[in-house]
Amino acid sequence: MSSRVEQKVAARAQREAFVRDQEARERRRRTLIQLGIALAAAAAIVIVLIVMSQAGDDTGGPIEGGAESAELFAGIPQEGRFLGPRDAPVALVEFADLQCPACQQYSADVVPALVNDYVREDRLRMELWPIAILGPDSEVGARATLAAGRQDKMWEYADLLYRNQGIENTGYLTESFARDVAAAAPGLDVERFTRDLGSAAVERDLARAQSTAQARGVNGTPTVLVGRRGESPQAVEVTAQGPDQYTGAIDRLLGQR
Amino acid sequence: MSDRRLRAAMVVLAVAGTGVAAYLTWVHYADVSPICATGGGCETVQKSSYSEIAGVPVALLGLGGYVAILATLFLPGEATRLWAAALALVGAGFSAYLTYLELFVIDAICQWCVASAVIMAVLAALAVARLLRAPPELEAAAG
Repeated sequence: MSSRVEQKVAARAQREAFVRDQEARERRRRTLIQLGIALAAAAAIVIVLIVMSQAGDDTGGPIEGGAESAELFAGIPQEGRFLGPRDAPVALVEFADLQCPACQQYSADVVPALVNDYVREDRLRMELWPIAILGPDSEVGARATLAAGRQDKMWEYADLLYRNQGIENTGYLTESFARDVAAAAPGLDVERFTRDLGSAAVERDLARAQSTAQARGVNGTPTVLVGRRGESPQAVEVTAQGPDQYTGAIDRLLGQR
Repeated sequence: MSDRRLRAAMVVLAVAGTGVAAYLTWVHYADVSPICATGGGCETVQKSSYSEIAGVPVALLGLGGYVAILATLFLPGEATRLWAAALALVGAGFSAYLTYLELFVIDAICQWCVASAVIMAVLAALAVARLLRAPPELEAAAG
């Protein structure tokens, strides 16, 4: 009798254990499915966020200063990287990295004075070599400026890029951003600019700019050299901000004539 | 580790993460420089074009994420574990991408962002562990 009861109890216990085991398996299976869904949803959301982040990188803010850039250089002859008349007595050569803050400052503080007081009076011809020394964005900036130079709009373009400069090496200076700047530069053919931007010709221009900078021993930007027309220019030693040291060097050369 | 301890650890981490993200959000809107042990790295990262998504600061997204995770830890129900795991996985995945940007694209490190990335990664690991382990005490209570 007691053995029968024991058998029943044992059988029930076995059944209950089996049910518990099945439930545990089912729960485990459900949890794994849930985890799989969570992982898939998380991956999808992360991908969307990354795509949006990259897209945001391209849009940026509106480009400002197009009219001011155009006004600064209006009426001055340009040929590729040159600004000003060929027969100007003094030549100024600048090597610049378009994403370098010091170059931006030079462009804002010094270039207008040189343009208005010397270039417009046919006393100075300026030459700009865009080079890439700070990072991958610099190359885009240099290529873009060289591409604008192919339309004799290098100076307006560089000026406008500086006016809209972001923080260096933050990824803002993309080809898309370069095109936005081109679109805001009055008189620049954006379609042609876009074609030139990725062209082998501009690539060669950049290689030439880089090798010229190397030959001149340029190891920082902006590096500015001045000299009399036809002579080898010498670097301007700069110890203070503003145009005075540059104009001083140019005045000395003009006085020597 | 018991479910209760996992949850407690997650609360501590989520509160810490909320603090970091709130600070970075404030820095963004107040337009001030974050306190930074890595030179100007924090400011460079904060002012980079990657610091916003569709006009929303990444720091604010992080703040929203931490607050949401924190909420799941205090709300009842089994589904909240799943939500916590999903949110923390999104946070950890996106933080990994942002850390990649800092190292290889922006070339500047922001210690606050790295701290947040580490917090989010540990939160994700704990949330998954909490989801995977059977919660006997809950079942006992429910049964």
